[in-house]
Formats: sequence, structure tokens, C-alpha cells
Amino acid sequence: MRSFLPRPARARRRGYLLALASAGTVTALTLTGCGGVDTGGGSGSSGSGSGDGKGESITVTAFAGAWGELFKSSFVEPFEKDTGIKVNLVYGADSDWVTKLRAAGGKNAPFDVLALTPGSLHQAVGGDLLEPLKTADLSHWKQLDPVLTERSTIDGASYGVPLTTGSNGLLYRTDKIKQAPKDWTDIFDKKYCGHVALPPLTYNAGLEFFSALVSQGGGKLSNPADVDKGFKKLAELKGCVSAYPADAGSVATVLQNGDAWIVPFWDGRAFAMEKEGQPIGFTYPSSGAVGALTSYYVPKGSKHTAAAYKFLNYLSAAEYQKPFAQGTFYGAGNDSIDYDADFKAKVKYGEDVYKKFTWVDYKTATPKLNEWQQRWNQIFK
Amino acid sequence: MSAPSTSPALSPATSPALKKPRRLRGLLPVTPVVVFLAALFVVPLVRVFALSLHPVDANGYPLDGYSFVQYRRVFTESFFSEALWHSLLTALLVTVLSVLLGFPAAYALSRARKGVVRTLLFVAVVSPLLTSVVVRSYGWVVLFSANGVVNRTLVWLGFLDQPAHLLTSYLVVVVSVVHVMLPFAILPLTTALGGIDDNLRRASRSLGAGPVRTFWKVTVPLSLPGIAVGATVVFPLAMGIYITPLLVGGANQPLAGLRVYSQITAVFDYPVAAALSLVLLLLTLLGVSVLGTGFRFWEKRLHG
Repeated sequence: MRSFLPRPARARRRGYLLALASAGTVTALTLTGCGGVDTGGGSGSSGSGSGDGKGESITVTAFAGAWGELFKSSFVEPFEKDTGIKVNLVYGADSDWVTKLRAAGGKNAPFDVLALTPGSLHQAVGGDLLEPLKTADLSHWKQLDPVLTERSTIDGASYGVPLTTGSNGLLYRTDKIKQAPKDWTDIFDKKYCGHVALPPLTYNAGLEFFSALVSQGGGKLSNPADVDKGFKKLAELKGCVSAYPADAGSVATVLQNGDAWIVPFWDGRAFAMEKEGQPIGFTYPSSGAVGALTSYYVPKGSKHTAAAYKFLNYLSAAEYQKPFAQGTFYGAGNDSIDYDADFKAKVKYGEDVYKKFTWVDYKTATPKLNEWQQRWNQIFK
Repeated sequence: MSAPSTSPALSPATSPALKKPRRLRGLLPVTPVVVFLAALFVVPLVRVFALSLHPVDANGYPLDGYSFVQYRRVFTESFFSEALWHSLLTALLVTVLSVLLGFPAAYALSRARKGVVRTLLFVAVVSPLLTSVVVRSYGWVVLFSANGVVNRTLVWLGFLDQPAHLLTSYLVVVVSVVHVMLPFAILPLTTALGGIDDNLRRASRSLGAGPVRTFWKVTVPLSLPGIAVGATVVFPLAMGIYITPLLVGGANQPLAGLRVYSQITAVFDYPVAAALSLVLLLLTLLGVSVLGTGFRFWEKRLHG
């Protein structure tokens, strides 16, 4: 047979090179085809022009998607119209923003006002990247919920202006689960075995659920024995989990597709899905929902502090928080808001509600996250 | 990606005296690319390496001083070491599947005459690359979900009593990753297969070899360069993949890429993420070298 292969080695190498070249073209195609999507939300800026135009501008972050759009219409547009200060909106997620702040190292901050969840707050304060608030300069500070402002107070210094807080409870399919669940323990009901979605601990919703399990009997995340008990409880779900969604889109998808009937998730998301006509219900667990707060912060090294405080005054005003809270179905940071009847009927909010929340002890949790996720994986592998 | 030509129209050997300056002049146009690649690849890589040598505080901030503690963690904590092992095995599986499944497709593509059919085949092959990763992944989610086509068919055929949890399974990772990788295997294979002179096959048949024997003794050996390129492109890409498994539902799968991602976005421990990604990179380079050597050895045995 070998005598039938007279191709000179050179030509063979040429074939190899041609093939390599075509593979290279494919690589280039992929890079242009989906590179932008792989990295997630890029940055964008709002385009609306302003009235007086003092030529000043500030950079503000917002979560990408419908949340960001509503943020723009509720706060950014009225602010730009009234003050003439231009707002550059940067869409994305808080882990991106913390990364950029860390890279800036407290100098020439890439944002003037930014949103953080409590998980990344401790990160940012730990690295001395945030400026404590001068609360006297905030005109609505006294109207803001004390439980929520306390959550972003570290060592006596207040850092955050609370925008909204979600409640992590049980989101479920009303067509599959006729009797509404009452407490966290109902997710362990054998009836739902095989239809439970469980977010991993590395996703906020998963850590909040685990924190709820640990807190139920008065336990604390900082006590290893309580954490052990929490894992023991969690292990009861072994073999019953049908999906491990790690982002909000996946949670919505697995419920819509019928892969899961019940999942620990946020009230606002549940009510938004219900509003779209989906058979989705939500239970605030009787032993306490877990708070999922979003607050706004001023980073160290921002050059536009005065304009940033002006923006925070809009951000914390009842007038502007109301449409935002009603649009996202999350309770707002300002306690003086009189919500519409529909919102009042559905969403639980206010100081008394927030007091009963259990909150994730991120100071303990963040450094332990690897170890816990590892244990979690050993249960659900 | 034009149709390959096989005419060995290589220029006659130039005199050695002329060769050297010409080669140097040839380097000039590639200088910008080299500088570009060095700036965007080597510099960050060096910085990542420097980052991986630092211990961290409780918040994941790098501390002063150098140590190999992050590398020790990568090798001793099963959370990382198992993920590396799992990634390696998955990438090998994906590579083998991509070449095996890509071969018939490439064969058909190389034999199709220019025209509508060939264009359609070609579009079908590259379509995974032209679709956004989000759309592609949700396509698989729809197919594999509890009331998706796959589960409904399995239940209808009586293989299952009730829908299986396919979205959390290893199967979904392999299938979705193979889907993205197939074009990288098919295109070089098509080039290699298209370059085989049909007369060789005819000669083999006329000398008494059957179609199967001709395929194994003529077509496969001559397509070896294509197989080698396909495998050496697919393998490293599969080693580092994380976004497709993450979106399709395998977020819980122990893949090294997913571990790096969660270290950065959830744990904020950059040094260990840097160490893990560098070990993954070394493992990938090692794998590619082994594959390359293997193919060269095979080729040598075939062609002498």
C-alpha cells in the first residue's frame, strides 16, 4: 500500500498548513461571533441630552437588563433634566464593578456612584475602596429604613444608600403545587422530590437559602456546628434536585420549562413573572425570609463627589423610588412611600418586615465560600 | 476557507545566498502582529503569574510576599484538583467525539460539488459559530428540559417512566460542548479530505482493495493532517470552556473553567484563580504536545 502514497513530504506539509489556516479562520469567526456575548454586559452610556448643561458628568452603575432600563427612567432621566448633569450609565453586575475598583486601588475610581450587594460590600470595604457617607449631606437620610442602612454600616461608618431589598423565599409553580408552601422546610417535602431547583452557594440566592437553613433553629454561620447541621439538612435534598441554576435567567427558564416546580428565590422576580401571566406564586417563609439588599455607594477616589451626592438625593427620594420599587416589586429603602394597592397586597415591606429577616453573615461566609461550596458539591455531585 | 488546491506549485529552490535577506524582509510585515500578540497575551500572562504567587487575606486581597501557597491549594484541595482532572478527561472525550462525528460530515462536504447543497452543508457546519452563545445554549436548554423534545421522546418510546434530569447531567455538558467544537474539527478535515487525489482511491480499488480497505488504508491515513489539526484545535478550546456548560445547566459540573469563574465572581480570590488558570494552561499545553507528538509519530509510521 505504501507505494501508492507518492505525495512528497512538502506537499503533505502544505496540506497541513492549509488545514491549519482554515482552522485559524474559524477561530477568528468565533471570536467575532460570540466574543462579545461571552464577556457578559459591556458598558453603555445613556444618550439623552440635558437642559442647562453645566458640562459636568458622573458615572453610575446599574444592573444590566430590565432593572437597568427602569433605573434609567426612574432616577437618571429626572436627575439629568433637573440638574443638567450628565449621567454615564455603566451596565453590568457588581462583581465586575468590584473588580474594576480593585484594579483602580482607591485612585481615579472608574465610577462616582455604584451599586453593590452585601456580599461584595465587605469585599470593597475590606480593600478600603469605599468612602463612608456624609449622611448630613443626604436630604432623605432620616426617611431611609434603619434596618437597611444598618446592613451597610461597618465599624460605625455608614457606607450605603439602600435602594431596594428583595426577600428570598420560596418561588413555586402554582399549577403544580396547589397548596402554597409555608416555610423553608416545605421545600424538603417528598411530593416535590425531583422537582426542586437549587442554586449553588456561589450564587447569592443559593447562599441565602443555606443561611436560612442554618438560621432556622437560631444557628449562626459563624458557628461550625450550626453550619454542619445546615449541611445535614441540605443533604436531605440529595436526589431530589432537578436543576442547579446559577443566574436569574436560568431560574426563570427551568421553572417555565417544567424542570423545577419550586426554588428559593426573590419575591420581586416571582411577582414580575406572575405579572407576565406565568403560573408563579411566592411564599414569605414563616421563620423569616432572607434579605437581598441593593444599596448605592460612593467609591474612594471619585472626583465628582458633590454631583454624586446630588444623585444620591434623587436615588433616595420617595418620589423617584416609588415607580422603581413598583416596577421591580422590591421594597424600597425609603420608608415614607405610599405604594399602590396592588403592590401593598403582594409585597411585604417596611421596618417590621426587615427586622424579621435573617441576613447572610457575609463577613463569615465570603472567606468560607470555597470550603462550603466544596461540601455542597460533595452532596450534589 | 476557499476550496483547497492540491497542485504542488512550489517555487523552485532559490539559491541560499538570496534566501536570507528575503526571509528577513518577510518578517517585517508580521512585526505588528507579533507586537500586538505580545502586548495582549504575554504581558497579562506575566501579570497573572505574578498575582498567583501572592498569599491572600480573608477578603481575597493579595498580601505582600511571595509563596507557592496558591499552587499548593490547587493541587491539594479536591475542589480544584478534581476539576482539573475532570476537565482533562472531558476535553479528551470531546476531542475524540468531535473528530469521530466530524469525519463523515467532512467527507460529505469534501465530496459535494460546488452549489446550493455544498453551501447549505457548509452553513450547517459553521452555524454553531455564527450563533450567539446565549441563543445556542438556550436552544439546548429547550431540547433537554423536562418537557423538551428529548425527554418527551424517551418517555413516549417507553425508555423512561418520567422525564430525566438531563440539564444537570454530564451528558448535557458533553453534547453542548461537542456542538460548539464540531466546526473546528470538520473544517480542517474537509480541507485534508478534499486534498486527496481521487485517482489514489481508484488505484486502490482497481488493485483489488474493497471500499472498506481503501477507506482505512488510503483515505484515513491521508486525512491525518486534518485529524491532527482538528484535535489540536478542539482539545485546548474544550479544556477552558465554561460559559456553555454554565448556561446550559451544568453549573455544578467540576470543570476547571467554572471553578476559575466562581473564584473571580463569587469568592473574589484572584490569586487562587490565577494559579488554577495557569495550571490549566500548562496542562493544556502538555496535552497539546502529547497529541502533536502522537500524530507526528503516527504519520511517520505511515509515510516513513
